[in-house]
Amino acid sequence: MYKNKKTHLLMKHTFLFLLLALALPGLAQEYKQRITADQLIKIQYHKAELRIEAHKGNELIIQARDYEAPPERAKGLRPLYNTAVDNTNTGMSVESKDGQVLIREAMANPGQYLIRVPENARLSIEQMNWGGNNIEVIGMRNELEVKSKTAEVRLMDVSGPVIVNSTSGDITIRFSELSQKGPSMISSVASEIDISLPASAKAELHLSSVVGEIYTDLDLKVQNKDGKEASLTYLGGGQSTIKASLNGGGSTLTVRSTSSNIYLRKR
Amino acid sequence: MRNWDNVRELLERYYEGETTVAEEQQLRQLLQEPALPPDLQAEARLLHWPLAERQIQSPLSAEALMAPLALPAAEPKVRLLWGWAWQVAAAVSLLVVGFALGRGGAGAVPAEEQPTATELTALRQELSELKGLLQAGATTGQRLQAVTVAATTPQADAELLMALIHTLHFDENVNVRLAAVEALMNYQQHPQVRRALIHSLGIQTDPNVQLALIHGLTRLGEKEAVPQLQKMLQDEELQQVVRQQVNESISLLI
Repeated sequence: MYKNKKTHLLMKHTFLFLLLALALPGLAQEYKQRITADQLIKIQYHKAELRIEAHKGNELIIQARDYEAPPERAKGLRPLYNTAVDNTNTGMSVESKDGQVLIREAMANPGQYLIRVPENARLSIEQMNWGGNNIEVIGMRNELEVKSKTAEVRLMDVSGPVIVNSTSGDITIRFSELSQKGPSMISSVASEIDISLPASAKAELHLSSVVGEIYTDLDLKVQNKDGKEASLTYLGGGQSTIKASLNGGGSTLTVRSTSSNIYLRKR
Repeated sequence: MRNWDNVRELLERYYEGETTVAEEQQLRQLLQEPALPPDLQAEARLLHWPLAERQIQSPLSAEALMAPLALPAAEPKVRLLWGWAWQVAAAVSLLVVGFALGRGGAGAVPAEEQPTATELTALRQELSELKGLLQAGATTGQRLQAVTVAATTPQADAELLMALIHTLHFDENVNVRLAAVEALMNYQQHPQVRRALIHSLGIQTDPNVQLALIHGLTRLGEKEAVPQLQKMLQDEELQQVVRQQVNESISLLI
């Protein structure tokens, strides 16, 4: 009896959900495309708010949270502000060229996007102008490049290599492991950099902040800090690079900031 | 009579990084013309485009330029490769160096550790695979790795330095360019490295790279950077944090 009631409730909910889905077309537009292994996925954006999640499959999936189709009276016309063509019905343009998949905005006011990519794809994200929205990436397992100007960058549970630069958007990176496939480098001008590494990560760390401080709870073996370098830095107004090895050394992780602090922590 | 304004416009676009490989090729040829007006002669000299230098008889010959590198058996070579072909060549040379380093310096290896014929074949294959990979375009990570290795190569030759300079000016990734500034600071004794660091101030638009260059040149006490620094102050789009550092550095240098 109870079971039947539950089934009934479930059916009712499903029905409601279906009704909702029918009533609100365009609420979550979706586009899918197959990606070959190790392919470079390049995202260039201006205004969209991006969340990028890795998944085990081999498809690129773009989900627009609040996509609005062009007005009916624009039918047969082309937009002038956006030269990229919306060929996905999500407000994004996807082009495959020279072994790369290039994703660009194709509408004047893009909203929130969830882009799901194969975890082993190479990913490059670039904020094209000042004043764009933030970037969040979760779970990637290959080379990851992020070029930010003002966008806050959050990379969660990534393995690297990670190559990130920002002018004034804070950078937070949580490494699930530190890939030994190549060097990682994170740099910023006026944004805080906060990095968490597994306590067992093997790395050669090159750390510098011109006017900020570097805080850590990692067991670092500092290799050098010669007095000569220190006296030279007086002229440049900067502090020298601290080189240290972690767990006997491994791939190079360079972190540099001009005017902010760097936080390096065990996770 | 050639319209030199078109050439100036092309040059302007070259500095903005907007020119295509074909246009750069064209620009290079145009700047070698004998009837070059004085301002363009100066630009050609600034760009260190070797042929142009030869034509306008710059006080510094290519030989004089390369001499301080004191290379055993390395004849000064004038490289005329442009565009991505040049980048690939540069990247290959960097990787070859990295490769050689990775092998730990053949001279120092005891006889019993010399690579066997099979190992050599494997190494050659690895090298050709690397070249194949580079022809398809090296990834940002590979370029960063190559610059990192080049930064600590004990005997950097002229070609390596030119590759690093090219990377500093034109690599599309800020971090790779930053790493190139750092790598080149290790070769500060070479005059063309210092000149390139100064020249790059006029090319870079990213505040991070601009600041790294300014800090580097200030650390070197490079007074010749002052005119270029003053020129930067005229750029209305210069970020405030960079402007501040430029002012500070000018006062430290003069």
